[in-house]
Amino acid sequence: MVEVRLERVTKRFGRVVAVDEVTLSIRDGELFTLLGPSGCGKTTVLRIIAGLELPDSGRVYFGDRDVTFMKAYERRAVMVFQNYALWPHMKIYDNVAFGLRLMRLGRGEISKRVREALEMVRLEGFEDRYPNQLSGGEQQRVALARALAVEPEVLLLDEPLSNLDAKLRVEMREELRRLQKEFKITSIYVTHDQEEALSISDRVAVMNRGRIHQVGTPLEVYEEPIDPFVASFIGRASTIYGIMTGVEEGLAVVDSGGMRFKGRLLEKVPEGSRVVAIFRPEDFTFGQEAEGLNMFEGVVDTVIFLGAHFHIRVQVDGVELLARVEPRMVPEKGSKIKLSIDPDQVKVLPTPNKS
Amino acid sequence: MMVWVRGRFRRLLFELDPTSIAFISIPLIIFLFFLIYPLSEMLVIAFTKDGNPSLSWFMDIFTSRFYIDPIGQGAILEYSPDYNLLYIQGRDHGVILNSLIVAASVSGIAGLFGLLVAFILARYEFPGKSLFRVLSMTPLLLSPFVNVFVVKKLFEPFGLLNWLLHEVLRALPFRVYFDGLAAVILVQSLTFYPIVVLNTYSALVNMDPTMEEQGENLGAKGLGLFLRVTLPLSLPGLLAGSLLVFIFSLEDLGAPIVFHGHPLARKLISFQVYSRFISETGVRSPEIAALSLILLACAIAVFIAIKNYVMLRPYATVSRGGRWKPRLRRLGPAGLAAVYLILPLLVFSSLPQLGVVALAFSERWAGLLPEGLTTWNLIQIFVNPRVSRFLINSLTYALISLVIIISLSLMASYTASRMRFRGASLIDALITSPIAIPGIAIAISYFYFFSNHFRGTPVDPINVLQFNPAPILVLGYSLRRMPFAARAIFAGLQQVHVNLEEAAMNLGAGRLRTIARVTAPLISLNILSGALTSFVYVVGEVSLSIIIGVLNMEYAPMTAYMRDVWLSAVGSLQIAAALGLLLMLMQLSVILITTVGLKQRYAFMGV
Repeated sequence: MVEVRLERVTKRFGRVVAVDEVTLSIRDGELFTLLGPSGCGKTTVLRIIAGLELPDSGRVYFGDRDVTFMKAYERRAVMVFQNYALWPHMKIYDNVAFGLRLMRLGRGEISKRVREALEMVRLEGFEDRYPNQLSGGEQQRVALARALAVEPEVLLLDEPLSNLDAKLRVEMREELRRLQKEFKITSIYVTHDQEEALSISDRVAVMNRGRIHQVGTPLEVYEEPIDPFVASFIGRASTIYGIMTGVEEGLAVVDSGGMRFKGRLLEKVPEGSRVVAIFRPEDFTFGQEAEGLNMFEGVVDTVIFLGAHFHIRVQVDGVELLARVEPRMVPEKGSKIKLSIDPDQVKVLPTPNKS
Repeated sequence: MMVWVRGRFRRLLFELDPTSIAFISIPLIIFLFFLIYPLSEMLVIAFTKDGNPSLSWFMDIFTSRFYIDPIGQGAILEYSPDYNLLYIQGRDHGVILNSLIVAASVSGIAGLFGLLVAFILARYEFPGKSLFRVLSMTPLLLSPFVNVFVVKKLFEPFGLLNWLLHEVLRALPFRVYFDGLAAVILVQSLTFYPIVVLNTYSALVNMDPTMEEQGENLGAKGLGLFLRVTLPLSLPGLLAGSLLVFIFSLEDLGAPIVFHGHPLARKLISFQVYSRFISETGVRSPEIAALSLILLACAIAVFIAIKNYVMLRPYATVSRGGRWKPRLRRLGPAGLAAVYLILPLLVFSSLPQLGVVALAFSERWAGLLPEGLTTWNLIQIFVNPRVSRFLINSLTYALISLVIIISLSLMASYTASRMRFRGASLIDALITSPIAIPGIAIAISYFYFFSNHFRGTPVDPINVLQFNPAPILVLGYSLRRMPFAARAIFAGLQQVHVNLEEAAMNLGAGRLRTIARVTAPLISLNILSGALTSFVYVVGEVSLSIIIGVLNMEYAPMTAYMRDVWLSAVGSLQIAAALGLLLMLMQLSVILITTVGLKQRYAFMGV
């Protein structure tokens, strides 16, 4: 129930820059996700907010308070660890009561709040068990109850669902979302799973190599990725590099080897500059020949079965496009195919200097 | 500039809280003040003559043929036709060279035999393996002095072994008599080789079996495979074990004291330091400091050399993880025969411990075997106040030392494994360093330290009439036996995920509370097993006990009583054996409790 701000936070481990000048502002009561591949520095950001690491430079604020140098046990930013970190020598009750006892609450108050916390995560009656007698999902919920019981200002979740099986993961993330909304705790969620990030978050920050690439709502980062990294990390995308040769009717004309197409410019660039175009597999249509559409003709290279639908790789003038196909119209491998895409769905970005 | 300084200070404050400051500084101060400082002071004393810096003490030592005699005198073996006796005593190369030759021979013999036994235990399955294992560990059971005495009795010209080999089996055409340096080498090899077995065995079983399998897969087998793959990979363990044996041999006083009837057994650095110290009174000659320093220098030089060797080869401990199937094979008839040929050797190396037990229950040992079954000796150690006093002293010191050992090693190990600043591992190195420091050097340095800085107080060793060695003993015992507990606790901390502690701090627990509520309970088994092991080794400690402890027999520990049987001819041999038996029983229960009860590995010591 506080706003969290990071200002130009940097953390190095030896020569590796784990967190590189990260500036973030997390709004009061929102569920904010740090999304990125493993090793991108997202967990380090979380640990800096928790006070478990000291940044080399930069500042961390909770509301107006500068908490940069405050020790972990002086902050009320409680973390749910990836491995749950339940104390194996304590019963569930004692695990959950740990933080409450430190708050010097009365015995009755403690037991009331432990009960409430366990009810919240639907684990009533588990008080006298030990962590090793619980399943992974149950342990996960105890870890959550232990954090929620102390009514933290900030809830930090470090890949809390990554050790659960796929089905349980979906259930738990809905549960998490419900609890977070119910208590309106400012929550920071770290994950490398884009589906999880998109489904659960109010806003997402996409991170790579210690840097924040883009911050926005799930829809924004999906629909309007700011650079090829974001585009390829969130959802699937074919990224095609080329030269922007001009603008027609507000659309950029891109030349990539033998292939020419139009697309929507997400950022203004001068003619003749190098650009990158992003195609989402689901935006392609087949057999449609309407005016104004980008048309491509190519050879089906690979067919990939994904359950509900198929992906095909199509070779178009030496460029490979990934497209989504409905099961009833899967083409033969090696066959020729025509595919089209609305230029509005093709995002054109300037080529980043560093990639 | 001010901003920068303030920033640094705040960073420092973030890492440090009162608990961590205490955890870093208390072990550091105690070790600097009570280990490093006394040893440095002894160094200064050794290099001072008449108040001026001088090399004179060392010049005297290094130029004297008594100390260094590269040519050597006497014959290693002598055959006396009159008695049909082969007399094995060793050549005299002077005190310093003798010590080095003995230590090198002992670590060589122990290394080879230890490697053989460890390899058999680690790679083969055969009937009687558990007996084999137990026998190979038996010599680890401590029974200072008495075990040496038993070896002496067994090897007498008309002792049990000569009777057996010469008269009964007629395997030897003459009688063999070990004495002098040869006897010291024999006793020490028998006593110390299990240390090599333990270290090498763990290197062999921790070795990724795919290493050997890949070797076989590429066509290597037998000795070739062993020499090219197995041996190089287990060498760090083997060397670590042999190194400890080298240091233990250098600082050993038990064998020289029991064999001191022979002039060559007296010509060892350890014995020279000891006998000169005991024979002088008041302020001791700086030459004693110089000799102790030479002992210390030898031990540390070898320690550093081996440690560097091991550290340069970190691959030996690299593994791809995962559970693997140990390479255990059944032995064929030829292999079995070979293993059963080694068995008598193992029985033989366990004879000292068996002899101590027999002696403890006997009235005398005049002939081949101890005679006259009795429990009188055992009862005496509890009911005779002139004996039980020593036992009570030992146990009291051990209990107090235990508190110091546990708290300091917990602090230091925690610092080394949890704190992130340069030098955190230095503290760990500091508290495990006593393993490389001969007890004699610590004891002598304490003598100078306490007589210089605590003159006239009850802890001034020169103040003979009022001297109370208890505080010095407790301190010295604690520092000397710290490595046992520190290793165990450090290993425990390595197994506890840091997240468990971070979770507690994250929920508002300070560092001390986190340690008390989370860390300590989780490593309690490691603490307990480290504590028990330290306890036994404190009770069995020799060097400090018989250098400082004997300065006032009122407060002397039980090993001082055990020594007196040989040096002062007071007390009873059988009672000493009974004390030895008690010590072995204590150690045996500790081993059983830690391995069976606590499911911990009984780690003797590694480097």
